[in-house]
Amino acid sequence: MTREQFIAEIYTLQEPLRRFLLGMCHGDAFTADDIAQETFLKAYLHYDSFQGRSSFSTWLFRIGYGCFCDHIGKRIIATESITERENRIPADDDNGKDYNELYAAINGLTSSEKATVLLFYIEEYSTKEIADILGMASVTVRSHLHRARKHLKKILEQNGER
Amino acid sequence: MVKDKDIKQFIRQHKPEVGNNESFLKDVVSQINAMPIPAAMNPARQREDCIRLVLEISRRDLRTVRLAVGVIVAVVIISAITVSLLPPDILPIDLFMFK
Repeated sequence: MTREQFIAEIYTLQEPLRRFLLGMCHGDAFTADDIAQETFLKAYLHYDSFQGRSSFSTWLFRIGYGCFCDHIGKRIIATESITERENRIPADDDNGKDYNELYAAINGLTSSEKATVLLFYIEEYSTKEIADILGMASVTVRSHLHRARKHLKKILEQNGER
Repeated sequence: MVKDKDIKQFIRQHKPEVGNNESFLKDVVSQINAMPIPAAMNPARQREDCIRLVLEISRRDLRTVRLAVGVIVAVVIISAITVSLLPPDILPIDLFMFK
């Protein structure tokens, strides 16, 4: 792959990756774009390590998820309460309003469960690809999905009752 | 009763929409262009790697052929020596009939 081809891939993959990170960051577009930018630069600098065993998009999402985890780690070190930050829904943001329900629904899930749900339902990755991206066994991905579905069903039923 | 189909529909309905594609891409591409080209993306380096690979394979093949020829020659020599050392009466044919 040449630099031009790499840039062409970025044009195709930037939207799904940014959407995934936006979901993971609960609508914090600034942080999500920051992580996405870091992801693309890391992928470019470490392109030598791409062995082609998985697809390019899977490899890129794996780096993206790694960058997101690093970011979460840094946040813990910075002693900012994760739950406080994650519960913060951008209410004054016009775009944020539409997403409140989704972010509220996935709020009770762990980071890897959230990632599994977003990759499976929005980006339509298979459980094997998700396992590759998140660095876990396919069985674990399926159990995450099972738990997330149970949680979302409960939330949707509660919403339906209201 | 909420089904899997409803969950799918709910998530798709509320999926995040990203904006500022142009400015984001402009930023990333300008940063990438300012960086050195990684070795794996360098066409000259890729060509060198291919040549090295072909040479290595041909060297390995040549080594295998040499080894096979050596083994065959050794077997023939050992067989010839063994046959010449055997007593003539146990040989199926008379090797020395032309003497």
